[in-house]
Amino acid sequence: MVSKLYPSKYKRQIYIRRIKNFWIDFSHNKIGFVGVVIVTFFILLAVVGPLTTPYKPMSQLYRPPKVAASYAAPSWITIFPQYSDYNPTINLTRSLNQTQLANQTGTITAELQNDKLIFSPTTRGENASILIYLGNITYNYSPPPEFDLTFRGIIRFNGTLEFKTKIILVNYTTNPKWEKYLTGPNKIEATLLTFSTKGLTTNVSTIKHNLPSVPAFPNIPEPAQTIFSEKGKYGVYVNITFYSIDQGNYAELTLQGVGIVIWGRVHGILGTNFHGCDVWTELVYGARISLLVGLLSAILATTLGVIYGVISGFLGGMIDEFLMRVVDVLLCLPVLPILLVLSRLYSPNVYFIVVLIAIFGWQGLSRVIRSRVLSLKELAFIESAKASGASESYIIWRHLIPNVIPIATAAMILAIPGAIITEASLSFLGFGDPNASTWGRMMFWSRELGGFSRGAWWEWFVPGISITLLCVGFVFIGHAIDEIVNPRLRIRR
Amino acid sequence: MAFDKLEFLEKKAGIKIEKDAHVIAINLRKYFPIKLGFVQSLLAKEPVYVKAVDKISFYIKRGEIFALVGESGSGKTTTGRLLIKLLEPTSGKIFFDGKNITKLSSFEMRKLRSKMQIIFQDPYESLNPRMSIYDILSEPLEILNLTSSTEETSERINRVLEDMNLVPPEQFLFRFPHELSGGQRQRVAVARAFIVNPEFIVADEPVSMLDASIRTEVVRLILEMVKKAHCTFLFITHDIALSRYLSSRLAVMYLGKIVEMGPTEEIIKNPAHPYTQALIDAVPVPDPDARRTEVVIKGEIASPIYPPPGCRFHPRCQYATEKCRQKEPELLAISKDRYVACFHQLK
Amino acid sequence: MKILEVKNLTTYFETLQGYVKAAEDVSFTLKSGHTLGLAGESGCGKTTTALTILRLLPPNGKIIKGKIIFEGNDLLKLSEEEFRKTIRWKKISMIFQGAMNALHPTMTVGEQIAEAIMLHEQIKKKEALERAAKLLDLVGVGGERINRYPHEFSGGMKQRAVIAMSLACNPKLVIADEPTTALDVIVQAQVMKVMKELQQKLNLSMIIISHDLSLIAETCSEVAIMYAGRIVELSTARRIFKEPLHPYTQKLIMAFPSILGEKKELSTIPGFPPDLIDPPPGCRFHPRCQYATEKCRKESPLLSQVEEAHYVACHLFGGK
Repeated sequence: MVSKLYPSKYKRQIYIRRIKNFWIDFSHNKIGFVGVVIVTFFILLAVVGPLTTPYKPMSQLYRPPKVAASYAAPSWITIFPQYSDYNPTINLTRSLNQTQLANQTGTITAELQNDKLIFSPTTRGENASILIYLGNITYNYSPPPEFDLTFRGIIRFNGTLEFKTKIILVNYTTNPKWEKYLTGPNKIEATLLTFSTKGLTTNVSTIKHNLPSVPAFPNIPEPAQTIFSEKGKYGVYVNITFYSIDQGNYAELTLQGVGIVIWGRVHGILGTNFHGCDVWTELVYGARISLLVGLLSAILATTLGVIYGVISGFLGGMIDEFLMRVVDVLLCLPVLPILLVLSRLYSPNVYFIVVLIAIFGWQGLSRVIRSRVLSLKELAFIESAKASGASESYIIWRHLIPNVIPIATAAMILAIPGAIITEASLSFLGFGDPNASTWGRMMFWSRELGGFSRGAWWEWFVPGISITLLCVGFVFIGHAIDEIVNPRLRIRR
Repeated sequence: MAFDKLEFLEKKAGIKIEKDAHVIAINLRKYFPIKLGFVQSLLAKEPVYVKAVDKISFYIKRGEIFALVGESGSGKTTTGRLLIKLLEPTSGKIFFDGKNITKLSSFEMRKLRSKMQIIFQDPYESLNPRMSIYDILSEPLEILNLTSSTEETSERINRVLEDMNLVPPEQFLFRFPHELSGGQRQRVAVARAFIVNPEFIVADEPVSMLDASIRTEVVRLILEMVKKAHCTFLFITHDIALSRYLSSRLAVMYLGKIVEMGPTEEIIKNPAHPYTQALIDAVPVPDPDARRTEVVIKGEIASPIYPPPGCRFHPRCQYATEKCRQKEPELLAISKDRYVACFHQLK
Repeated sequence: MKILEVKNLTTYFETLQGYVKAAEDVSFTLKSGHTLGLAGESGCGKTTTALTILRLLPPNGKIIKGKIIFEGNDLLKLSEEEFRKTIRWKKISMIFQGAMNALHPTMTVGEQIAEAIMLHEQIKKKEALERAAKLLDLVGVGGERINRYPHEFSGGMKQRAVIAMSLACNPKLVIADEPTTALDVIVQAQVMKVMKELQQKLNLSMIIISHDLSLIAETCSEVAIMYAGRIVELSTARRIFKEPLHPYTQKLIMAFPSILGEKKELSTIPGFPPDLIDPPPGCRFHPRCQYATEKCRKESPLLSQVEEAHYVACHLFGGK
């Protein structure tokens, strides 16, 4: 607190001295330094992390952005020999201009460079078919867990017609497992999509179709493992058949993407969760919320505690006694059960949780501050200010609060881990904000959706250890500051 | 002060008060109630008090240095605080500059605060460790609204630092109290008292916690400042040798009462009360050859909660008689402006 | 008969800002049964010297060089175990600065003294309490008070209890660090009287550390004046006070108000004591000395004999 009557150059000098004095003490504290390193790492993670990942977290999107198989392991795991042939995500989806025409029959015009297929039948009941070659997959991995067939396009049409899309997989080497289900020499085919314009009111329709492997190949048990059971080269073809139902039909199909996505068994820095979404993204966005909740609750709780403690200590007497008894009662309340109930009663929003945690976190600090104020009140410099005619509010703001701030700061930093863990506990139990992908929530999903039992350690262990490390970091910093401001803890160096 | 009022007060107090008295205390009492334990409060018949100050009367002339001498427990510290109304007296009257300030509210007192200041004993506690020296010195100016611009403030601060020999001032302005030595801190505390140009300063053992060799420098600076500012100064101390150098008049207190009062040099050369004699005897002299009288008073100062009956000093006094045990001696004049409270004054 | 001889004792403290040169080349002797006064301002190295003799320095205190010869043996050559078993508190004990305020508030005074005894001798608690009672009698507090708590004692009684604690194992040498600071003047006189009587009765040798020269004048036979970590003058009490040679000593003596005789002018020493991390070159007193010459600024004067039993460290008197 700096006097109003300061020439500005003096003000700056004083601040510089204060910071210098503090820095001399702090920089020699090894534990504090370690703490700062850890916390800086996580702050960087929260701030810069989103830039390291091209994906968005699940909470921000309507549909989870799947990037690999459910519970895919981290991709660096392939360093180890027993995982070396786990497959990454292989995506062979092409728009028409990237394909080659293999065969066509009937009145179809293929304008490949414009992604367009034009069906112009002249009579009713006319068929037309086109076979398109999408490309090759060189598959040298162990069998994948799952794959999807995708189709994305826009159809403009007149009249009533139908078209059917089939995916044809061709094996260039022999695969005995295929023999049981062959639809042709070395080939397996499945109907991806059957589309009819009967009953549609407009004459433009956007089609987005994702078909997982199991419904696509219903007669093949475990299609992903069976079809790709051998390493080798595989070809992918698409067969589109048009069928005209009445006269004067016309269809223009703009094909933006069709193909096969083999979901990876490994992906990214930290693998995927149940929905196949990148865990690293979840972790990085979760860091933001954990830090935010921790900091905000701690600041709020500390402010409440300081105000309460200063008022109680300064006023003294019966008011002090009464206020402290209120604190006693509040301290006896069981925090976690109440938090659980409250968050269920009212919609659990992250900021609401911040406030709740703060409401239960200020009591301990108010005690400490009150006793400090009681001892400060008796000191001579307060009497001296009174002798100069200082009013009570002047003494509180100019003398008591500045002398209380060091302890309050140390307490605030030490309160942050508590807040982080409380929030993580709430989320882990399922009571937190369902739209916020916090670390606790990641561990919750791991428990709920089976990741824990399936050994997907990347989803529950990494957030867990992150919570621990972040809290340890803050505790170290708080401890170092506490050593500086609490003269009884000082070790002579 | 009106002459007839003065006469009335003199009669009440039993001492003669000079016309240009700046600060007057009449029959001043301060009792602190004690919180008893549960059982004791049930058994006690009447409320128990610490009788810190028990009916004292004295006055301080304008511009003079007055010393209040006594051991811890004598009530001198409490008296100092009563005079500037940091404590409210239990009974009695206090006059400042002719005005009765005993019953003034804290709001009315605020207007007088710029005229009175206090210097504390502990150089470690009297400065806020979180404030720079500049802050500490500008604080009284700020609270009392005595300066109109920052230039005026820094000019006054620089001047008072120079007066206190803390030069160059720039070296001290931005330091914090823990970066200064005890002697330097105490000089800042003295500077803080003088910066508002007060008329009356109470100094509560300002040099007791400093090294013996540093005391003289601070005392010398105080003397200079008092002379320059023409202010009235109350010097509270247990060191009677130091009061000899500072004060023109002194009063000796014991267990809440004044036992001897008068011109300093006279009292030191010819003490009339046995306690004063004992205080003088106890002062060590920096001369290995000096033959001093042996300390003959026994025991320690009694508790102000249960002071001994009769003369409060009698349990320790070598001249005590039956009369001393039963009756309490009044403060009587033995010559002009010389008072003693004893039945067997030393000659 | 010399009981203690300190030669060129140098102790530094390691701090973040550098080495604090707290005691530099301290040398003095103490004869058996005599009292040496170590006088000087706060921070001049008196307490450091005492702590070095008792080897109670904090972890960042380093003894750089020197010899402490007690009854013929160099104490610095003993291991910590040996020192603790044979010397500390048994032969040399100390009354620490502010010890009266450091008494354990929840142990009776008798228990605390008994604890000191039991830590050094193998005797039972009952016997130790009896000895504690005898010690309290010796210092004038009264043996019946062994079951009282420190807060029931007055300041003077607490200080005497601490003195009793230092005598627990019948030491030969007692070091008293500021034994009367924070006491009222009459109580000071009482405590010093008790100390003098004890010294005569038990034939103790004492070192009294104080910033109050008057106190030292009354109680000590020899006096060493310290300034900024060095001894600047060492002699008998009479010579120091009657014929002070070092400029600092002279100024120091004139800084004490006298209660007897005529009112003398008080002198003051201009300036402030130096920073011991970066003390001034040459003689450490030269920035405040009116007689300082070029030599004083460059060379540090050594403590050298000027006349019998009178040593001064000043270029005005040789200094070689």
